[in-house]
Amino acid sequence: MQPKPAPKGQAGDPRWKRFNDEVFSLRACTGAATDPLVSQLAAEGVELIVDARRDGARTPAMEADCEGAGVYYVPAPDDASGRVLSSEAAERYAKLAMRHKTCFVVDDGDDELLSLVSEQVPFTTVPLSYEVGPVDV
Amino acid sequence: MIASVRPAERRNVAKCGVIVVCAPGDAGAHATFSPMAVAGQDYRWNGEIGPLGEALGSVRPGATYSVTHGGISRAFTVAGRGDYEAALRDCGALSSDSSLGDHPELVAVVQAHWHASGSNGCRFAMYLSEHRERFGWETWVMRDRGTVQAAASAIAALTNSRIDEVEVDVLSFVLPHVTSSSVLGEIVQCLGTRDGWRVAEGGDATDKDIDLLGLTVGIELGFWSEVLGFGQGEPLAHTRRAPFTELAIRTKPPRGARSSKRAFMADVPLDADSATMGRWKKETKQSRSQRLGDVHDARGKAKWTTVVQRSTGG
Repeated sequence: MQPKPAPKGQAGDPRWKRFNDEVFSLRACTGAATDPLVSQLAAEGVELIVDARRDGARTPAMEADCEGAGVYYVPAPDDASGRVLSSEAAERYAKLAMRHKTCFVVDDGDDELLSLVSEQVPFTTVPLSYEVGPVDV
Repeated sequence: MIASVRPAERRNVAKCGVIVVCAPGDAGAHATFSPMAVAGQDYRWNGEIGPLGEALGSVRPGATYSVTHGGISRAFTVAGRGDYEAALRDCGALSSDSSLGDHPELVAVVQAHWHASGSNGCRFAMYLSEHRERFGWETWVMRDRGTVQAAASAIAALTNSRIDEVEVDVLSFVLPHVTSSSVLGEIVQCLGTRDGWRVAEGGDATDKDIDLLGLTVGIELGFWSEVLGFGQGEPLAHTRRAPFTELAIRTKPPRGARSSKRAFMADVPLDADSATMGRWKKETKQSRSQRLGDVHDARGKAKWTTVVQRSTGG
């Protein structure tokens, strides 16, 4: 009564990584429609978005679009700019990023959140750019 | 800093096969390292079947059950606690004057071997249990606390402290002193009343004397994780009749968002390619239907933790 060994070459891939070691970052795209933004991130394989933009930059549409695209949406609190972000929050985002392919959406020039998260886990940060096309009116 | 979860470091720790023993009521914050379980304490095991695998491979399953499905009857033989006890005695791992239940380090390995043997009907669980370090299955063998309430409190406290740990994908509690489904049902009901837990009840159309209990626990990102129960006793589904009573929790939400907010064991990330996963899915479906048949199909579903028989309370 032995457990069945997995057939070689089909399971037990030594290249398999249980946890992510990189995250994406995206500078704020104020005014951009969120639907194509979320769609593009989902197409890149992003599974979770931490939205760390301040104040009015975040919109309810972003959350709805994420839900529609099967992407987790985690709004960072309004006071999540680096200096006041608690270590608990940074640890939470780091843990989430280890398990879900994560994109941090941050305000232009605000690197505090990413650096605090990287203090928890030394992720490689891959910056993404998003081209905002003309908006039809 | 979450130093211990860096992939390279974590692998090194796992290779050591460390065993951690915690004082009663301690949630792990002051864990000390020890190669052996300490009497009267909860015992944490996150190792693998390893050295005992060969000895347990010689276990002679003594229990049988028959299931009719699709007009075909099949008989299955499964190993119970006594069968494992005999195998461990034969190889000298268990002395003639001691009981398996008194050795939490053996209890944990035996239960892991039972999962890996396929008796639970799930091909994914077999692989998962065979490679626990790699996939993060942490088991606690709980000491006897005397009452259902105390057992539930201890499980809740440990769950609270371990469920968010990034290296833990599955958290299970083995209760060697619980030998009936009625007591497991009471523990489930008791847990269901606590903050962060809930229990649903349902009926089984194949047996009006059966109540189904579905325990869930709140986890990260607003998900509710379905808790699987295993143990002893006639009313339990064939695929849940294990050498020891156990509650197993999938501790993390799935990689991708899901509107149902349900989390379950099938989401544990494995290192198999899509073709293998597809084959295992077919094997699981077939094994499950053959082992459960029509009568045990409902009670064997993942959303139901355990079963209580109304007339006997068990």
